[in-house]
Amino acid sequence: MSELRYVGRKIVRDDGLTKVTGQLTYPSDLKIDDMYHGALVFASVPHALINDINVEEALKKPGVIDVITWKDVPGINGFGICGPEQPVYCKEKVRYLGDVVAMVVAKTERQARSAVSKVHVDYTVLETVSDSVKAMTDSSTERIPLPGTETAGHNKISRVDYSVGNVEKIFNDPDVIVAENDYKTPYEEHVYLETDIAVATVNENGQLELWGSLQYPHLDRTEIAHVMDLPEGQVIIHAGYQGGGFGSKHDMTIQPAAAVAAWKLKHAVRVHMNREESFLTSAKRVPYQFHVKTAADKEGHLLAHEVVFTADGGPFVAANPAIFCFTIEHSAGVYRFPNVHIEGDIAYTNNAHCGAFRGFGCNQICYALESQMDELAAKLGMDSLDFREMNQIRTGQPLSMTHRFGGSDGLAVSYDVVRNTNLYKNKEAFKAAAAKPYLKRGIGFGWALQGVGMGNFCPDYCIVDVKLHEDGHFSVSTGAVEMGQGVVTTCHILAAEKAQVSYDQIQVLVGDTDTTPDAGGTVASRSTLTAGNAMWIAFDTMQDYAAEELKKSYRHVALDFDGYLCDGRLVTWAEIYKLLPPEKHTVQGKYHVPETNKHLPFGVHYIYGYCAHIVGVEVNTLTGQTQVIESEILPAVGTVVNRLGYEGQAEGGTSMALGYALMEDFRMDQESRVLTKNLQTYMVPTTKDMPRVCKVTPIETIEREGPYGAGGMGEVVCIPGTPAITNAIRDAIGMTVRELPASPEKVLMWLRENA
Amino acid sequence: MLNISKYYRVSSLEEALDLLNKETWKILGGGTDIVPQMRAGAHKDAALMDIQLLKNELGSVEMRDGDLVIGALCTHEELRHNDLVKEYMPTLADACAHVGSPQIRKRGTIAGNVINASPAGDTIPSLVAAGASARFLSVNGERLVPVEDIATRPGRTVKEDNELLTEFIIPLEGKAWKGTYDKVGVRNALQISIADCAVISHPDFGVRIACGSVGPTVKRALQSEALFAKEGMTREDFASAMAEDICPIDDVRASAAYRREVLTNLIYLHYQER
Repeated sequence: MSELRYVGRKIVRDDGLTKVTGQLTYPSDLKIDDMYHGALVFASVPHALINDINVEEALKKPGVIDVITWKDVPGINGFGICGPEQPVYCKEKVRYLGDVVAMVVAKTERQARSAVSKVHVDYTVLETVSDSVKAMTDSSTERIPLPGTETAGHNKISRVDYSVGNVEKIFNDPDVIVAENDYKTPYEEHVYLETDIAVATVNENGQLELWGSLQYPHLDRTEIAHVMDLPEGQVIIHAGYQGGGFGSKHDMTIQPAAAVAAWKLKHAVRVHMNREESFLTSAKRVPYQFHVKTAADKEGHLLAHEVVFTADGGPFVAANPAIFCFTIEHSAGVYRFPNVHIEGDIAYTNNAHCGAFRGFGCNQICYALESQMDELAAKLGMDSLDFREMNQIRTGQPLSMTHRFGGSDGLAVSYDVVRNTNLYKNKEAFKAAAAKPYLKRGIGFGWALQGVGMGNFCPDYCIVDVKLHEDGHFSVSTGAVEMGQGVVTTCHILAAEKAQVSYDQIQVLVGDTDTTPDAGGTVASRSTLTAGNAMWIAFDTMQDYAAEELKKSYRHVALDFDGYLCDGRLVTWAEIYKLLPPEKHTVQGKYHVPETNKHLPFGVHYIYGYCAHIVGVEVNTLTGQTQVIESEILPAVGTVVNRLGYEGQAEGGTSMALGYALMEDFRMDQESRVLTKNLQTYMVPTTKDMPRVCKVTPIETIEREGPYGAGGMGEVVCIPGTPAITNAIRDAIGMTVRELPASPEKVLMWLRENA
Repeated sequence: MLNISKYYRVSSLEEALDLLNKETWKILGGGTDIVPQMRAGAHKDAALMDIQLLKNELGSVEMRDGDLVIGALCTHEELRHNDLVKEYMPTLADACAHVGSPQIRKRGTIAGNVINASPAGDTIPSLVAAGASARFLSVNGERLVPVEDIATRPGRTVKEDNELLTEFIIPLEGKAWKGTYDKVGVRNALQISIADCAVISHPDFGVRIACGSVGPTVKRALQSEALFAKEGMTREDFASAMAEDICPIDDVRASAAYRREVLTNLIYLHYQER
């Protein structure tokens, strides 16, 4: 490949200046003249039948325009990624405390909110089902899904039982070394800065137009069209620039409810959740309980791996089946197991709504698996790094689930790169440097792989439109959503590189069903790969058109910077614009992510990103507090597109992995009431918790399928840091962390019991 | 959206005391506690008296008759950098450095931290341990109240509606308090303490300990203090003393057992390192 002009440099993000100066408009900044404001009436009990919804008193309150309920839904009263099971407005029953029963619409937000308590809902209270195991195994527990909903069993969203080889035969062999343990992971809240918002209106053409917290506007359009019983052409969705998402906004929340209100009233309606409402309603990371049994022979060759688990999916199907399958797919990690048995159930409960969260079901199992790897290495008396390397999947081998994978060779070289890190080379000095006898230091590792894209679970494509304008600049438009992850800048860099033009000759448009084509969801670490390849295809077509046209007038035609070199003269794109017929000013590229060779009972990927993480921690044995002192993250996700964005993702991933390891814990009581209602009690790390040394070291091996060799990194960077930290705690004090987070309390109480 | 009936910014201490005597007001200093409380629905329809213009009268730190006197409106940020505080009451400077975030420290005041009457107020253990008093002024005169006696339970104080807390007096006899302030939480900033304690000593007053977030109000740990006078005390001795000194509860942030355990460990450490 010739030298790259933009890819791999440090490029300031397109939206950076407008964000830091407050000029950029997020959906929650949008004001429409004279718009009404909605306030939500939530379920007052977690599980109940609705007998009656009385809105009379609320309608009499000052400023109240209307109270919207299920009666106002024109089409399907439901939505959800894996089935329209979440009601827009509850009709028959409520299934968690974030369920929406009605929306008060008033002239001001204050008026709307103050009338909420005047909507009287008569309930027949049902048993609260908050224990995910009991929900499925005890058939006397109250059934949660609506009548007629197909389930995999009593209160069971789905079940998978998958085997390769025969694990029992291995476990029965008296000569094998076995590690058998339970692990538990908590609910995790995304804490995006911009809480859930929807502004809906009916425009002058009679179309429903909606701005909101969304990660896949084209799918959201389809869902809202179904709710509204409108053709898709009657619905316009603007997602644009979001104040964070981390996967949660893949599940819609209040957007369909706002659409129903605006359509009924033929008037703009704005609904904006406060932090407490957002915590209550939005999808959380799915909590798991694992029982894991892992066996190796005496030389350290992995032989068998069994994972039996239960997950709590909350009240709706939502994205749960997909997340659950993702966990299964990733349950053997980067290691080669000849025998595998994975068995899991995911339950309906009245607890928090669960859904996508950066890592999508991989974080939980990676923590359990990487803990097992350290425990098994200890039992074998082996160095845990050597043990991992010895059992790592080699390029060209199938993964343990038996499907083939493509992607970069980053994994193969990662062990040597980790051995070369300062922290690893100086690990003894690091551990000896604790300043007080009660401070204990340890180092730990984690390895992760993470499927890029949707896998063969569902269609996986992206469309990019490239348009040549009269002045010679290109606009590149795609339905991806900018949530802060940097997709606009990534598209800008890849487009400028491919087009071979000055950086300011590219304009990127995103996140809008009216002005951009369907990109697929802005999820699954897929946008760099998919949008990059789709625009590659589009620019190829555009360049073919240009060359073809120019060859009519010139003998030697070659693509050059900012135009074509034609018989020694630069013909600029502005000139080419004039030469091309109008229908050739716009081209479209559509890219399909390649599929792997096998269809298994769960979706599997062909392309993966990899990441290694090494950390050094210090545990205060008097308080149980753990500080991550040093961290070096080593993503192996192909070429670096933008060094600044890459470092931002990797450092943010480190912070998120640290939060999941040490403090994040969204809690409910047995009656499914939220205990960590807001940021006063739900702890996320701040900059003060970040390691003093926080290095990002790219392992830049080429992702063969990717644009300029780039792959997807958004998620994998937040995964291995968690087990690296818990493994470092183990190295420091001997405690195997069986339940996340490893809070000061859990660590200190373990120390007390094991003193 | 704050539901207030009235907002008034007073320009002199006399005016403040006069108005406090006539009507019921909520005092607004830095607002770092009261504003979030109002957002959560508390103090509905309150009349807010903003006293920030009294900074000249209530915003200084000085030595007076050998005691350290701290004005009510001193912010945490000012106190953490104040030379007198750093020299004579270093644990208070340390506690101020641990309050919330830079934004909160630059607005929040020491009087607000005390009068909010949270058992988790970061500045309170140092003040209680040192035997500090607060001066309350009203049109009827003034009274001095030990800081330990200001809060009666979480969110409730002995302050009368017509009174204004104007300053804190920390007895020094011209000599410095030394010691440690420990704040235990799950992260390093923006943290409401799970448990905290000031363990301080003074040439004339000896060792003093006060613990926060382990009871309805911040209290001296008298049994533990007594052990510091003896040699050869064990961790078990301190565990027994703490059992009498504190009465923590289980809440969403930590269990009572953890709070007991962690404070016992820390106080025993300071005993060993004394």
